[in-house]
Parts: sequence; structure tokens; C-alpha cells
Amino acid sequence: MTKKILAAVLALTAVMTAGCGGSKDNKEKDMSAEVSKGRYVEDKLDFGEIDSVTEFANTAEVQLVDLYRGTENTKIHKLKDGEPTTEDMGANCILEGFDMPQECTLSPNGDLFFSCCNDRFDVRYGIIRAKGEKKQVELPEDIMFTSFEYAPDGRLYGIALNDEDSSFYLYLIDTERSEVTALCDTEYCSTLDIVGDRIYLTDPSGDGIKIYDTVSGKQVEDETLADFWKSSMAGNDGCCDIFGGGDGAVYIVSRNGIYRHVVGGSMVEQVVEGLTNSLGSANNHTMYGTTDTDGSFVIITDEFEVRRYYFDPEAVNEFTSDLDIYTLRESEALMQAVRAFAKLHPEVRVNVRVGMQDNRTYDDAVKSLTTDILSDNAPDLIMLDGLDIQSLEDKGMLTDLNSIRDKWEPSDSVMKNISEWDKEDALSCVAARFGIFGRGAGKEDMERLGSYIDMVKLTEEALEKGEISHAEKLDEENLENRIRYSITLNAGRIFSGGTADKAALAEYFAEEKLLFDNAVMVGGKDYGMWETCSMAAGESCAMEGAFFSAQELLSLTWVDNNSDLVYAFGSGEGKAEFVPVCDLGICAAGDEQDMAAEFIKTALSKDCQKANVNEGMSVDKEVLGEVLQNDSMCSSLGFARSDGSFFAYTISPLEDSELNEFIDFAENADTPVLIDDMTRDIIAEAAMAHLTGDKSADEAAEQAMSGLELKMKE
Amino acid sequence: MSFLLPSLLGTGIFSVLPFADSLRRSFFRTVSGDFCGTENYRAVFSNEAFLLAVKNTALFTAVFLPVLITLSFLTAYFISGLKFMRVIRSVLLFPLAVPTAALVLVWKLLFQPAGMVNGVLTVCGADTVSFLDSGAAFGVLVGSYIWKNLGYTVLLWLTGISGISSSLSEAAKVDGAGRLQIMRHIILPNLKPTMYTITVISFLNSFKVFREAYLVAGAYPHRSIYLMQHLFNNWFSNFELDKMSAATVAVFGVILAAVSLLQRAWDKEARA
Repeated sequence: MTKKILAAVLALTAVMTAGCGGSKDNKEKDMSAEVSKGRYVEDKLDFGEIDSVTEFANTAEVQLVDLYRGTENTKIHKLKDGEPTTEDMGANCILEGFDMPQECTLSPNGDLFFSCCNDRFDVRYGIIRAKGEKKQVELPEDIMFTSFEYAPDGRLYGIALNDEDSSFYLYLIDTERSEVTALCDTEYCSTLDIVGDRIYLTDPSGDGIKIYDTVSGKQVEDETLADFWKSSMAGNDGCCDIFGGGDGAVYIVSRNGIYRHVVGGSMVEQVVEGLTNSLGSANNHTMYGTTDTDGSFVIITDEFEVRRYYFDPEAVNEFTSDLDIYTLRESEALMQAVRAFAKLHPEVRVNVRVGMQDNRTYDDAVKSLTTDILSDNAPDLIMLDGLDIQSLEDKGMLTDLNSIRDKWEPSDSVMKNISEWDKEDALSCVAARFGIFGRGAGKEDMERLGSYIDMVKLTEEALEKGEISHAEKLDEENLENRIRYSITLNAGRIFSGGTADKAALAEYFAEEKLLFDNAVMVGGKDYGMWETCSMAAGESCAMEGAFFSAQELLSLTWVDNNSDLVYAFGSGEGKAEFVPVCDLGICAAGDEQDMAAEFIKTALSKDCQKANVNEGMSVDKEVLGEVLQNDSMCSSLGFARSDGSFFAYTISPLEDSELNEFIDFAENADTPVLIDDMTRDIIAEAAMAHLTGDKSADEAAEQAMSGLELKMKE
Repeated sequence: MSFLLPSLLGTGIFSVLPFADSLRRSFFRTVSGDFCGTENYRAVFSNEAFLLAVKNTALFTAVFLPVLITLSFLTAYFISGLKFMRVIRSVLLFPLAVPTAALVLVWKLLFQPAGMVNGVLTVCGADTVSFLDSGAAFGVLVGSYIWKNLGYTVLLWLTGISGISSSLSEAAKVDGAGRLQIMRHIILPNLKPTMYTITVISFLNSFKVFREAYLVAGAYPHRSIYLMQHLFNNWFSNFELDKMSAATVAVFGVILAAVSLLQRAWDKEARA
């Protein structure tokens, strides 16, 4: 009996061992079946120039009121038979002495209720009748409405903050009698959307939703909607809206897509998904939505782009294959490519796996990628930003793109010195975006500004002379982010011989401590631009920064034309560094190699390159030129000085000579600067130890070297 | 034998099978799957990081084991005659119940540059010590692990001590033996089976000290506390599975040899 049991166990073990490491199954798909059709597709609508709009009117017709901040008449943008038109209201949304229009709402019968304020932010309310008559509506001065909206039945509701208990209240506003009636306490909900008889009260962070029934006059519960809101809306940062359709259902739009919920129903279904279209854009946030008479959805973003989502019965809605993409972090540049690819290949389902989401660490993210590869679930494409590309290359985990060049070859206008930077031996990845370094200083100082060290020395001198003022020191979170950014700026000298240099590390740490202690460091997401702003505003005398978007670059070139300051591309000493961004590599263990190559081709296509993302500039020089010389690049930038004053300036597109200079620099850039996240973390931890005073610069350098050496030895 | 089947199956599936796979992988390259003979083993044994990790782990075991065994025995011996043993047993098990993450937080409070220990040192006029980023990290690691495992080990000793017939000690006292003589000639010889168990368990536990070091100092800590598990953790992240498998087999061989030697020595003693 014992022998039989032992034999059974051994046999089982042998069978399972033999099963390990077996060959992958080939997925065979039945291509002969008829492909299913019919889904929502995206279309852009051109409403002409939009100045400042509020929410869509609660009417059957698509109507968008444009406040036209200023003394010009208020306009209404409409969709008539699917075509955009604009009508003049015949009056503007300001009152005497209160010439700054704020909010407005349009009633079903054409009345426009609005709020306006003066330079002391005292608020007044008015109404423009459909016939064009404008009059002030006297409402209690202690009630300041944060938002208001007309219901389909013509009644006006608003939310105002009660100063006494810091809670928001829902009011019924009677514009005829100039009376307000408090209906209920909305607590933290400061936004309202009216659908039929129900008022949906939400807060900007997306944490909760309350519902008020105007028929019964009470708050009501909708558990399904509440659960959905909690699980799906948190983190949308106010980029969501609730509106009605002609079918009596409630629609919710957010970055994740458009959802439909029938009142009293037990589910919230997704009608339009957000991943593969512009709804999911991180740059262009969804603001408001509405439905048109034909059942299509009309959405406006915070950059006033208007899009329509309509049902196309001929559009393919069945996926015949999957493309798995792995990225360490969320990336708008990648998502732009995903959207462009999804449009070209609607039959391919694109799955984007983000490694470091939900507060996962780099270590966890990389381990999960390793586990996926080991379990035959390897991604097809990897966005390599932050990963150790050399290590992946050495192990043969990335396909040599030279061997399949015909499948992804981009146009001739793509700058190959940048996009195909990884040329040693095999071509393992292609950069779809890039950033550059730049520097700026006064005309007399510019000759001395050849490196980061020079910038710090100039700053030291200016501090001693009292020529620059001091701001507040960065808090810990901003300091950590700032350190991680400045490591990129100094990577060249830290790793000058290919490996880390202890003396260079110690010197770098000491310089950062000087800048930090004297509050010369700036915080903020767009460091290069903020560095330039700080210098232009007189808060610093020199800057070395990294520039990753067109807008950031134009902030640098502004200084030359509009001040005594001058700028130059590069970090100095003849170095032509660039930072490859959105590095795409094909995983050798992935199933869909051809599809992955097609994705790279899409990412490098002109259409995709034209998208304006903050992570990196286009690698296509023709597209880059168009973007940098586009009039839409004009925008105002502001910087709050340490003395409380505000410095503002307006950037403008490049002149031909400036563009040629920049393109020339980019085409001759020959030094890629890349650091993987683990290396950056090791250096950043040591830097923080020095900046917080726990260690000297030498001790911190010793700590960093110890970690880097261990990493190298492995 | 049939009652062992469930455990045997579990061990077979979750321990033997993965080890067999590691053994197989140690002779193949990870990505290409090509057979490479002993190349992985050669790469491992010539890898500086591996040699450092082995040295640190061996040093940790060589320091931790004798100190833990000695300290726990002495503690058990001296408290074995006390009252309220039930309460004492519960208190002894408390360190084991403390979650590692909580323990690490306490470490940081005590030992970071601006921590409480350095605060005391500063008040006393001494220089501060970088406990977690210098050679002192090794001492902190050993001390912390001894603190965590002391209670459990004392309990094992107490169990052994309580199994010794009191008539032996009493007879020795009648013959004029002192406390030390009783400990040396009666208690210790009768505790050899317990010592063997404690030694094997503590030896195996010494390889599990990674969690604390990783939570405090990350994937690349100070050199003095860079242990084998750090290396395995990083190799897994970097997809160096071939080297990891070869190192695993090598470590298994060392542990198996050590436990076998111990078993042989014990068997010799038992026969004698």
C-alpha cells in the first residue's frame, strides 16, 4: 500500500514537472466568422472660437452659452441638425459696476440667469430674458451661489456655501420675487446636475453623490449609483458630469467613459469606453456633456474642444486580437498612441498594464512584469521609460527592431538621431518623444554658464550680493520630486565614465544643498518652465533646466526677445544632450510582434506626433516645426514672487530663425540621457539624507556609491 | 503512511515541485531556454554580489546562532523555577506577534540619524551614529532578530527543562552538587535533543531575516546587511532567473550538508 501511494505521488510530480516550461499554445482564431459591427465612434465638432463656456443647457437641443468675458455680447453655440451654429444673445452677462461675468445657465424658454462680480469679488445676479431684456435679480447678499442650473420644468436651483457651518445648501431661486428657499443640506457637495425630477449633488473630488427629488421635496437614495460613484469617480478630479438623455436615463461622463443608469435600475453600464478615445486624455479634461436629439453624446473639454460620440452601425466592435502594452507609469504620450492605434485598428483590443498604479513600488511593478513573462503572459510592447533598458537588452528580452524595420519604419522627417538613439549592437527601442536641456542667464553671465556647477556658482554670487530674493523652502514631497528631476540634469557628470563618480556625486549633493538652503529651488511639475519663470521674474539669476513640451520650450525662447536675459540650448560645454521619452520596445516573448511593430509605426506617425503632450516633444521635425510656430501656442504664464507680487508674461510661437536654430540643435543631439528608476532612487535617497542634514555630502555620496556598486555587481 | 498523504501531496506540489523546476532552470538560460551546463553556477560563484551576500549571511548566522542559543538557554534556566509561568510564556511570545512592518517603524524611530538613540547619545555628549547606513546596521539587525526570536527559543528550552525529572537534580543536591554543576552535568546533557531542535530551527530561521532589512533599507542597503535574499530579490526583478536558480540549488546544498552534519553528530551522540 505504501509503495503504491509513493508511486502515485512520484508519478504526479513527474507529470507536473514535465508540464512546466512547455511550449506556448498557439492561439488560433476563427477568422471566418462574420465580424460583429456597431459601436460608438468619436468625431470632432468645430464650434468656431469659444471664449468661456459653462455647462450645456438642460434642453433637448444642444446649447452652450459662451460668456465672452468682457463687454462683448454673450453668445450661444448650438447644434442645429448636427451642424454647429452661433447666435448672439443681444446682451452681455455683466451689470453696472460688476463687469466680470462668472457663471450662467440657460432655461428651456431661453432666459439666461447669470452671476458677475467686481474686482473685490462682490457678486451680483442678473437675468437676460429671451426677448433680450436684462435686469438685475436682487438676492440675499450673504448667500453666494457656487453653481446654479435650470431644471427642464423651468425652475432655477442653486448651491451656496453657508459660512456658519461651512456646509453647502441647495436652494430654489425665484427670480421674479427675488427669493431663495433652502431645500436641503448638501454637506460637501458643491456641484449640481438636474436630470428630470432629480437633482444630483456631487463634490469635485468625486467622493460622494447625493440625490434630491424635486417632486417629493426630499433626498432619496440610489445605492447602485452611489456604489458606482465611489468606485469609479474618485480620482477624476472633478472631470465628470451628469446629464440626461431623451430616454429618461441618467448619463455620466468621465475620463473612464460614458455610462448609463436607469433610475431604479441595478446596474450602471458603460456605453462608450474612455481608454481608446479622447475621453481618457490626461491633458484635455472632460468638462460637460449632453445628449443630442439623435441620441449622440456631445462633450466639451476644459480646452474647449467639442466632440460628438455617435453610434456607427458599420464600425467593427469585435476584437479579433489583443495587444498588451506594459508601462511603468501612466503616460499621456503612450495613451495618445493607443488612441491613434485604436482608431486605425478597431479590431484590436489594446490592453495597457500600468505597473506602478495603486501605490505599488517600482520593485513590485518590475516583479509583476517578471512574473507575467514567466507565466507566458508577456506583454507585446513595453514602454521602457524608467526600466533598465541595458539589462533587458543584455538578456535578449527585446526584439531587434532592425530585423523588422520594414514593419515600423517611420517617415524621413523623424529625427533618427533621437528616435533611434539606442544603436549599440541591436536597436532595442525607439523613442517617440524627447526633451532637451536648456540654460539661461543675463548677457554678461551667459559666457560663464557652461554647466550646472556654473549655475550654482552664479547663484551663490548673486545671493552674496543680495541680488536675488528668497522664496519659501520646498516641502518634502516637492523636494523629492525636485531632486529626481535634477538628477536627470546632472546625469552626464555623475556617470561621466559610464559608472558613477563619487566626487561628482558629492559635488552635486553639495550644490543642491546650497540651492535648497537658500530657497533658490523651485517646485512645480514643469520644472524647466518654472525655472525660466523664476529667472524672468528676477527670483534667480541663472537657470539650467530640462524642457519636455512645446510650451516649456517657448517659455525659454521668450527670455531672449523680451528681457535682458539670454538663453541657449543644451547644458553647456558643447554638449548636445537629449532625453528620450516614450521609449517603445517589442518584448521578444510577446505573441503579437507584428501588431507591436504596427503600434510603433502609429506612434511615430504625423497624426499621433501632432498631439500636444507635456511629457515630450515630437521627434518628427516637420510636426515639431508646425507645433512650435502654431499661433495656438500663445499663452500667458504667471509666477508668484516671494514678496507676493505676480509676474506674468505671454509666450509666442517661434520665429523662423529660432525654429531653425532649435531644429539644428535637435538634429545634432548625440548624447542621450537616461536613468532607470532604481538608480535614480538610490541617488535620490542619498541626496535627501544630505539635504535634510542627516549626512554630509561625502557620506551621502558614499551611501549612493555603495548602492550603485551593489547594483552593478549583481 | 496513508495519513501522511495530504501533507506529502502539499509538500510535493508547493515545495518539491518548485525546487525541481529551479534545479532544471539552473542548467538553462532564462530567455532563450538553451542548455548551458554549469555556466550559471560558474557565473554565480564568481559574482561579487553573491560572494558578499554569502559572507554576510554566514557571518549573521555565525553570530546570531550561538548568541541566541546561549542567551535563550540561560534565560530559560534562570526563569524555569519562577511562578506565573503562564503569564511569562505569553509575554515571551509577544515579540513574535509583532508585525514586521511595525517593528521596522520602531527601528526607524530608534535608530535613524535623528532617532531616539542618537538623541540620548547627543545628550550624553557622544557623537551620533549612523545605525542604519553604516557597519552598525549589522549589529542592529542581529540584535533585533535575537529580540524577536528569544522568547520563542526560551519557550522551547523551558519545555525541554520541564521534561527533565526533578529527582535527578534533587539527588545531585543531596550529593552536594552546586547549581552550576547541576546545570553542567544534569541539565545540559538531558537537553541535547532540545538543543538539536533549537539549533536546526534557528539555523533555518537565520535565512529569513530579509524582511526587516528590506523594509528598512530597501533593495540596496548598506554592504554589511546585504544578504542573500536581497540578491535573490533583485535577481528576480532583473530577470536573472538562471543565476537565481543556480544560487538556490547551491544554498540548498549548503543547508542540506549542515543539517546532515548536525544529524550525524547527534546520531553519534545518541549511540554513545
